[in-house]
Amino acid sequence: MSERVADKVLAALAAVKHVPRESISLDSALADLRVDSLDTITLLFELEEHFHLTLPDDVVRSLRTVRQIVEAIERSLAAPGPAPAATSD
Amino acid sequence: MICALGSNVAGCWKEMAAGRPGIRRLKAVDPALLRFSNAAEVTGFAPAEHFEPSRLDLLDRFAQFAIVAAREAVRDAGVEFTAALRDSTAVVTGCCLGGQTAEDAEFEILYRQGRNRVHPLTIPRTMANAGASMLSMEFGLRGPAFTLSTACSSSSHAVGLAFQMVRSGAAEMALAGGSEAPFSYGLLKAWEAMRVISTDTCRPFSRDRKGMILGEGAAMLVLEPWEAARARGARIHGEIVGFGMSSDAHHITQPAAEGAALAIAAALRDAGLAPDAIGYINAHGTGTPGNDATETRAIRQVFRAHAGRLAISSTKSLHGHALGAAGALEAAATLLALREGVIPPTANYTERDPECDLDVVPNTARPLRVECALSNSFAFGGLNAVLVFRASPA
Repeated sequence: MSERVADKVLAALAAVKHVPRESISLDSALADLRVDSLDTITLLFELEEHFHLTLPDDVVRSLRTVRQIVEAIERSLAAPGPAPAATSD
Repeated sequence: MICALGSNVAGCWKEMAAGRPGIRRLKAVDPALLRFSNAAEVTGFAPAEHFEPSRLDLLDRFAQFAIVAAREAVRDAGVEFTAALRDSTAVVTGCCLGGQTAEDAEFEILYRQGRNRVHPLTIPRTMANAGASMLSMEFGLRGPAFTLSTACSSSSHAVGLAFQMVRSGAAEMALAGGSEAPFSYGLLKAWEAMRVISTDTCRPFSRDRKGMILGEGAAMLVLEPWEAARARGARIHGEIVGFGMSSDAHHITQPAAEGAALAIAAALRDAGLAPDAIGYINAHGTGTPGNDATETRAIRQVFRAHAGRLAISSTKSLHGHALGAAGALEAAATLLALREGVIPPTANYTERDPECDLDVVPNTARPLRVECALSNSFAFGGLNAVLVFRASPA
């Protein structure tokens, strides 16, 4: 698992939930973090912008843990197609 | 009545009873720019056939739909407006977005074309009450007129409040319903970002449902006291016998079964009917994973053992989710089902979902005479409106 992707997901999730990043781990369940559907679409909006990718709606709906988000992004980044370059922000 | 199924009641009902969805490849916006490509758009609508050019300058598509549907309703009702009746007839319309296709077009001129002026009629075109105001002017109606906006419940609230005004005597007659025209690029991008639009079609209550399909159009009803309609020999399509409202007090987009159940129970109480008097429910049935399972739980909560004997269908699978027009289109569909003795089906249904285990009349219309029926509307923001209808005696 890429640390770069994991770091960004943890930071973005902490920002969306307005909680300290240390309170979230890769194995945190989204339900335990009280991440609801609106939090999820807001988080994915941030991450898709950052990584220049698009995750299909059914993939997004299936996400249950922080690790699953990281893995979904890594799969999308590894998929063939125009090489995505992450923005620096 | 105008929607993706047709431009009048007869045309819409023919498609509904045949179970033929009006869901097609999106035309108003290039689907290559979106993550979904299908919609339930009104096709073959030529505004110039309905309006003088000078009038058209003032009308967003949503107001055009409102007027076209209202003309059909008033013609069908055979109302002859006297001066006194005009002064005591109410107009209540539901609308979620207002004239946002006009707004989107004008803002595009500012933001993308870099020009610094927009059309001087942008405000009258876009204001959400344009539909109600235009109907008042169209027929010279000077009673109370207003528009209410409760997202996907808007026009059920409109019909329900108009019903209460007529029942209480606050208005002698009412023209009530709703209209919507949501197909602009900006708004479709916003729906795309919500991740609730299906990438194929609308499959309410089906296990493989992927979300809603947006629709557009309008439906308008003429409401008057039963005795008045009988006295003037009007063609009566059915009776509204109850209306219930509630709010979830829960979440801005996720529905709650308890709130929906409260509205259903309130509607039955208002109608003075026991749950087992109901034979058909025109469901809110958006085709999203959340709504359909929650609505099933709400129906079970109120109807208990009778829930299994109800015929339930979502006509959104046919005419799409027309947002502020949805409740009015579905009120019309419910009245037609009662009048014709035919339950329109839940189209595009493929697979049973254990969380939606009621009789949803899959894919094929069902000949069935029902005396009383409900139409459910449960909006984003947890605002619920349920209408109760009774068939007109033959």
